[in-house]
Amino acid sequence: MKQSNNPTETFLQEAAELLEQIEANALEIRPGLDCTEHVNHLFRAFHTIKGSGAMFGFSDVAGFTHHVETALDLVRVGRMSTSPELIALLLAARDHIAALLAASQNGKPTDKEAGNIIIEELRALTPAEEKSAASTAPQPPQAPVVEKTEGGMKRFRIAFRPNVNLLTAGTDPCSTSCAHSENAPSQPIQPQFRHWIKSSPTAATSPGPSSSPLTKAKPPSAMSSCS
Amino acid sequence: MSRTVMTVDDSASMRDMIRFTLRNAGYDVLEATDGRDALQKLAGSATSLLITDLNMPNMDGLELIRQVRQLPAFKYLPIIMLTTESQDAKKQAGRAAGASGWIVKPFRGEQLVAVAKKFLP
Repeated sequence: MKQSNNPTETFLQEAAELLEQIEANALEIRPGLDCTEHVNHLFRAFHTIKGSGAMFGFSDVAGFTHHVETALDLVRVGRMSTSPELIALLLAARDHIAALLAASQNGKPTDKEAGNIIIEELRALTPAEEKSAASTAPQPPQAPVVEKTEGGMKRFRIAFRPNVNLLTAGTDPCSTSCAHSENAPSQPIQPQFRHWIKSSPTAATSPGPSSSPLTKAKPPSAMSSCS
Repeated sequence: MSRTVMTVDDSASMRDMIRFTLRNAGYDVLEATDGRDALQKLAGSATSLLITDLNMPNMDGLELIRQVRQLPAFKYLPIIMLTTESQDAKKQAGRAAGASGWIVKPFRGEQLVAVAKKFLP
């Protein structure tokens, strides 16, 4: 793929290629045969569409794809089996993602219900003991600050302070503070970066604190140590 | 000190975004498409910060981190992994493998630059 200074354009091209690979790999899966590589490939393709989609503002694509990725993760670790029904749902999911991406380009609304039906059917195929785990991940974004005033009126206080480079990199300007349902906006300003400052039981295989360039300085406020 | 960052990701759009953002901030950026590619390109390079995805074909991010830590020249190389919120167990596995820290996707360009500056001011 060519290098581009427009990551969103690259993402759309990449997603189109991944959707083709999804179709090809889904059609190779046969019950009773070892399909590990095809399943891994499918998982990675949906995972990339989810992760990169969230980066570049396609939050509906990321939110929907999360459910497919979750199901495939169960297949990958042997806690859910491949079946003709699952393959059909993966192909339907592929078509739905293509429709969502097309809608983002031509501005037409998509059939949200179609996506919900696929999610429901994936859940129906999920073994009962896995369902609670599968349904925990996406949390709705936190509600904004709401002050109730007399007479039943609601007043919303929304603070927005954009960085000067907000629109230069092609990423979703509010990617860490709203939009993607999986990403609860607990720290809308701080970068979601953590590192391990203190020495750990694994220090023998990881850089010791005395050797890390970071530990020479006081930990900057943007970082938190991990207990 | 070199200001070379290597980005390792099988997603071309992620590599584009990281390259574009870090080059604008004055860093040199090398790209690799998976762990195996990264190990080959790392040898003899002046890489002073590695930013790697976890789920990749051929060699995933965790195995890459383990192998990099075996290389005398890169034993103390800062390594940042890119994760999603749903990969909590992977963060601990990354720590055990020798990662220096992680960034949760999705993130914004200025957040990436802020992290790079912590390691390469």
